[in-house]
Amino acid sequence: MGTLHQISGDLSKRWRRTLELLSATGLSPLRGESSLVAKLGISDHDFASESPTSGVRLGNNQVVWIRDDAPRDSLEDEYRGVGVLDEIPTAHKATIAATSALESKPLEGELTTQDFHLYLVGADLPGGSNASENRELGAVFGRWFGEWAGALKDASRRDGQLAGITNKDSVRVLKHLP
Amino acid sequence: MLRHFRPDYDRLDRAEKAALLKGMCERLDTFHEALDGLVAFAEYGRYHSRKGKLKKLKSSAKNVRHYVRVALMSDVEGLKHEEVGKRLGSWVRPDEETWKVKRDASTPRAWVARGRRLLQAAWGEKGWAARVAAKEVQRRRWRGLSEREKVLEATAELIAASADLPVEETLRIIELGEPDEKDGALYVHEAFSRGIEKLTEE
Repeated sequence: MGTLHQISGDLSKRWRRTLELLSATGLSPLRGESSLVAKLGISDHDFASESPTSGVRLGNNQVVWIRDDAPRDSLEDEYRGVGVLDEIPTAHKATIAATSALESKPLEGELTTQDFHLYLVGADLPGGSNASENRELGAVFGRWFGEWAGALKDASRRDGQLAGITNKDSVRVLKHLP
Repeated sequence: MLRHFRPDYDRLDRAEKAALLKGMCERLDTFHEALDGLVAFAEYGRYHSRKGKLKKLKSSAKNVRHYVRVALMSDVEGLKHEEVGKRLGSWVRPDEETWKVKRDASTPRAWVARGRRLLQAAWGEKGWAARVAAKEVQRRRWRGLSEREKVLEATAELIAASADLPVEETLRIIELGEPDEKDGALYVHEAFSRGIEKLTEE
């Protein structure tokens, strides 16, 4: 029941904590603009204007780091340039490395594309990974699992990717994926 | 890291230490490559729905560098769009007849606009305007410097960037190392090393 326990309660807490951690580093794409660029999760331009390095999210979702006062390339350069880095700053990289080590584990065995479709049917269910933390755990599992079985039956009829799946497959996927 | 995991590391002979260090460096390279790939994929990994598979990861940094460069030419150096295009050499002016009618270097204009939008996204409109003003001051100051002063300052900027120090602090360390009158960047590096040594002794 360890995995089911994670689905019902712990997982949402863990992901919230992870996203908060990433958000604190300025990496979370919580805000954005539909134009070419959008500043990364920072709405206060006055604050941003003081920092020499600033992250900018491009239209393809990539984040580039713009650094003012880059060293001159030659003595002909009369002013210091602006550097563009596509490597994330070391401190942010360290956060992601630590978060990956803490919040993930290697997969045991290989998962197929169908397995991921299967997982997503469960994850998309209302109350799946967001089950109320105050409700009685057993009842939550029972209801959620019942809903998943129903959703799987529907999905297997409508979606060729999920044709022929069984409840046994879903348990196998749960074992692998949080 | 080796010392942390292996209390006996300092007692090993040099051949073993060298082999372990080499092995660690190779594994760290692999780790960094994997981490960079993970972040890049999380950020801009894309699915090709028609082909039903993931697209090849492609960084846009090169284009961004180009847009930023042309925005600097326009906003700081005051070049017209046509002049920006000419300096880059990658823009072909329309034939004389068309140019007489249109008088619009639309491609360089679009590059400048993109670069400016990026820079304003990074620091805000006011922030970018303030940086442009600061760079204009830098230009005027730079023109008044001697060749030797330019070498000193440009080398200090490079040292500062690689040592992650402010340029002012780097120049102070170089002064502490008493740079001699020789020409070239090497004397600046030597003075910086002497300055660091003096600071360590203090």
